[in-house]
Amino acid sequence: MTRYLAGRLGQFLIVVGGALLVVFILLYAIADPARTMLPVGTPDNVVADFRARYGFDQPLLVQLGTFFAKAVHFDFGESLWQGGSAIGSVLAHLPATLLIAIPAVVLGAAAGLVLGTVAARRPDSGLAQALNVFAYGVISVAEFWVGLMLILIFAVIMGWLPTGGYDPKPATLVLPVLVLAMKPFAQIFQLTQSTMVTEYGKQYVMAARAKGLGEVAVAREHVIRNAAIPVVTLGFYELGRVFVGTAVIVEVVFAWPGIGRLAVGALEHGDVFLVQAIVAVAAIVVAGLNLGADLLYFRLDPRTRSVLKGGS
Amino acid sequence: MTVGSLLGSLRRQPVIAVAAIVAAVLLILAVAYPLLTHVDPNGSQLRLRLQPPSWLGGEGLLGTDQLGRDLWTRILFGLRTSFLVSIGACVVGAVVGTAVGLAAGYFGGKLDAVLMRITDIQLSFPALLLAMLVVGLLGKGIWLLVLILGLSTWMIFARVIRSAVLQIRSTELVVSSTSIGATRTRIVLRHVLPNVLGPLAALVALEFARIMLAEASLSFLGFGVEPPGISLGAILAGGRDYLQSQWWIATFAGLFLALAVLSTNLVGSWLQRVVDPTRVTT
Repeated sequence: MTRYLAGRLGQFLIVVGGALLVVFILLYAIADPARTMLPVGTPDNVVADFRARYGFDQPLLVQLGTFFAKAVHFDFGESLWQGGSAIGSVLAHLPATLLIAIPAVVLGAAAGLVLGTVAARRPDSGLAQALNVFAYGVISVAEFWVGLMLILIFAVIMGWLPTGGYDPKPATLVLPVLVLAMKPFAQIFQLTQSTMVTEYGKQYVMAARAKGLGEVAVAREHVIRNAAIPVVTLGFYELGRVFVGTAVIVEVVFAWPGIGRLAVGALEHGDVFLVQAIVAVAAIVVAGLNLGADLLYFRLDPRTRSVLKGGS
Repeated sequence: MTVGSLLGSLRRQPVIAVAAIVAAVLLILAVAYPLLTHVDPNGSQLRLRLQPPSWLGGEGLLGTDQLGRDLWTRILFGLRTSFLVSIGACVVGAVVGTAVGLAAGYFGGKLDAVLMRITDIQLSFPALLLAMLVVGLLGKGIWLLVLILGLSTWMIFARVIRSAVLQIRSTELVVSSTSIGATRTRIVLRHVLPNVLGPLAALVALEFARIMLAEASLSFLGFGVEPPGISLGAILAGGRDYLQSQWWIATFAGLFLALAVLSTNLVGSWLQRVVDPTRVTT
């Protein structure tokens, strides 16, 4: 048990450290940070001064050492584009992303869970097949296209909702949350359906029915409890995926000032310090959510505990 | 599984059959049209900018964009880019992933542990952000894009191939080959590899669809294909500013992307069910 926790925590640190190492290699070893940050055509002596000021003229290993020494204290330098500390700028943009990411995953997971259960009860029914085709459609369309089409229909043509922009009113949240909820919904729907179908085929279901339990009780007391475990953990993974994947696209489409749009701007401006702060925060959030998912799995499924106790 | 029995199974699944036809038609259009057309996809005619489709009284089959370029032509060139990038990235991902998966699954031990830990780490790190980072720092180019997207997918191939190899390794086929003195390389290449081609084919189709979306997303954000290269994502990004009045630009570009991705996804999921009823999952 303790060994398992220590191992998982170690993996968390490896992922975060690995992400920082990759960023360091990209920013400092493969690309030239001074040339990335300064405008094209900057005179050589200015570039040299700049290098000396930020220590880019030091040997790479020394730079790597300082980079990690500062990273441990969440010091990633000053953002040249935004002004102020890079990490401060990232943290200031974090709530906006969470404001759409969390409701989106909750909504997607809830809808996926309910509809997945419905589809699993009668896998061959017309409704189940329609839901499956819908889920495939949702997985196959680009979020930015759906976002634009929703803007076209509900904002431009109908005029019911704003086209975008940041304003924590329910109306501005509707479209970004809906678009962000698409992929988690489809993933969780498919997983719920397949695990529920498997669970319904197991003998304990027959036993529960044989002792006279009604269908609702069979589902609520037995099947859902077993099927929910992978579904809940997938929800955590999906939140991580939404947070740094789809959120970037949705924030650009809806002009939403979260860290996804900040990342696009930081890269466009060649703001090396801001880029490394964003990657660090993204890696911590995503690895943290994955860690949370694993621990939750461990908590919810007694079988993993007995295996670990007996095994190591 | 023979081609004949595959086609037979298709006949019983009309939705998949339609998807396969749509995918084939789009592929043929994307390959043949750019070769045959005389219309320059980058040739702008400012006099004809932002024209609606001809069936709405405008110009060209699907209208023109903000620089007066023919949208139908541009969409098919963009589709060609989508297919090209996805094929390239799938080849990179499948080759690297299959090699890693075969090695990890067949040889096991420390090698397996290290390789699988690496796939874990990369799987948990957001591919989109990483791709944006590489493109933003190293520059835009179609081959760099192929490489990045290929390297964003190899872990999934490695996982699936590894678990397929683990199943095959303990079968009599491999045991008997070992007993008559076949070398390990020979067993892997002659006996194990042919047996994982089924799951591999299904996975290629599914990853192909995913990569098409990833390329479009990157190009939409401005971190993908650059002019004069043409991408559906970039066409959509251009159409975004004209959504209010010139809805056809974003609508049609996205529609073709959705058709291409949905049809390959459906074919892929069907292939996965057919070649491997027990579902080797990641």
